[in-house]
Amino acid sequence: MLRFRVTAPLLGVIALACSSEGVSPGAAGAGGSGGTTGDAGVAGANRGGGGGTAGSGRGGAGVDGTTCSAQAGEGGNGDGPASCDMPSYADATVASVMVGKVTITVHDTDGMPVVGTPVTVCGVDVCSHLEHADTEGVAVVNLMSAVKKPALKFGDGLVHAELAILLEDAEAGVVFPDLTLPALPAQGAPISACNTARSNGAELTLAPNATFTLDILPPYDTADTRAFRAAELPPEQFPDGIDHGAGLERIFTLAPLGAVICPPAELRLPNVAGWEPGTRVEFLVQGFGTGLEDGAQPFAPYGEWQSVATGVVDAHGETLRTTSGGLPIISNVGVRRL
Amino acid sequence: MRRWGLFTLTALCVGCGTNRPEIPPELLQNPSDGSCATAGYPKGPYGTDPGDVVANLCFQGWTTPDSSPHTEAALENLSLGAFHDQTGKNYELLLVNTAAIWCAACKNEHKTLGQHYAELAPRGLALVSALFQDDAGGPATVNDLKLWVETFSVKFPMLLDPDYQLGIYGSADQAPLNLLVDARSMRILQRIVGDQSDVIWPLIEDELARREASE
Repeated sequence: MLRFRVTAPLLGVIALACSSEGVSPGAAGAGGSGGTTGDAGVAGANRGGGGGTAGSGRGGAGVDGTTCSAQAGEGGNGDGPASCDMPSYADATVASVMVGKVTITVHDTDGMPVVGTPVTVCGVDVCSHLEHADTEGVAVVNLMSAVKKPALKFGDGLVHAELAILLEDAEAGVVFPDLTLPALPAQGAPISACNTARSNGAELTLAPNATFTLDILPPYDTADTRAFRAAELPPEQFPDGIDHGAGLERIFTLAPLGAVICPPAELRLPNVAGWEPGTRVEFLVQGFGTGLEDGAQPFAPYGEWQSVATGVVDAHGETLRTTSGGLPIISNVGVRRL
Repeated sequence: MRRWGLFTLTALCVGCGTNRPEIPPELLQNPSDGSCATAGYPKGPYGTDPGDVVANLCFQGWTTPDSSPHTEAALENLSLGAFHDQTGKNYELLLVNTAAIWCAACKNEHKTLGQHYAELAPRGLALVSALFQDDAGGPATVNDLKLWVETFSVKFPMLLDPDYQLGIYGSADQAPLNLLVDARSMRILQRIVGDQSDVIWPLIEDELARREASE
């Protein structure tokens, strides 16, 4: 694993800059989100130059210093340049494989076909053509070339979640007859420094000096689509192979996928399982970043899950909240008890 | 019955075709459209395999997206022939790249494409990329091109290819496509499927070094 530390200009640039100095909890007053945790370290900046992991951040005003204000928004802050680590999980040694025909049937948590949702097979180097689920929720994908670390990706990450399942030994083709894709809330919550965005019982709290960087490419090209959305994938509907051996007990699908938050945001998730107060838990993010160059696949290996924070079930038993580390990138979040 | 026979024969002919993409007849000769015609471009026939001369495809886009407004009015015509350089005075190699907004590998590739281009352009590399589809798999629009250019701070010619003309060189079933062309002869040197940075850039550097050594 490589780590990158990059300093970048303040606003509207691809590379993030942020400081963990003076970071205090966000409006919710929960534990600090700075610092390094476990394997994943702290939130990421990306490489400068012609592009970066999070793409072009829409340069909004940040906050004034570390004081929360109504001016909070996307972009940098007034604290001056700083830096964040971005762990990279690119592995140039991975071999190319062939993938046969991939057939899926996808429905939402109520069993209704997810009509029209995009489906593709993408590796870290090549993507198949984008297909769409038909009126029965069925899609067939063919990737005609060799590919490194192929994964089935389905869902748009906006109306519904987007999930990835690594395809191993799929040269003869594979059928997923029963995939579940949670619907995300139609209404999202704006994400900005100093604020807590709430969706479906999940809460994302950004520090006063936090930056939030996300490509302006569709589907996340409007203020509404860049808002925070969350929905749980019920454990009884986990597709085979979804956790890639991570032993996840809960999976929460989040959007907008790929938004980098620095310093990492505090995350609270509903304690749907009813775990006892004080239960210690670990939070993992799913990797969606591709590429093989140094710096690629930020925060988690493509298609896999990587620990980014630990936390606890709160005293009331209502939420699972991060206490060490936080969410450095908005992605699907898996939780397992420690 | 006769119509069915003709249909069957036609279907069989199509079915028995090679996997080699068919080049539309209009691309087998230099373009007649004066706005994109390039004097002195190698004559056809053109092909799609290494060693073949690449067709002089014509696109619209922004040739200098870092300085031109990202508007429809600012779109310019640009053909691959604009990079044809028999003497190698300006260009030795041309890398033709494709991208689609839905394609994660394409997006990742563009994070570093500009950096590689900046390093190798002084040595004779020309780079042109064509955006062919939006996030839903529909034809790319000017607004998509604008968002792409601004997201990746593109500083090389970035074109629109909503009809996926470059599909004759690589199916949309395998994105992105990278076509390395000898700018002196406009012959295809390599056709590479995917974001193969570990292959493409050493190949280009080696080829440029070889040419520099022979001068």
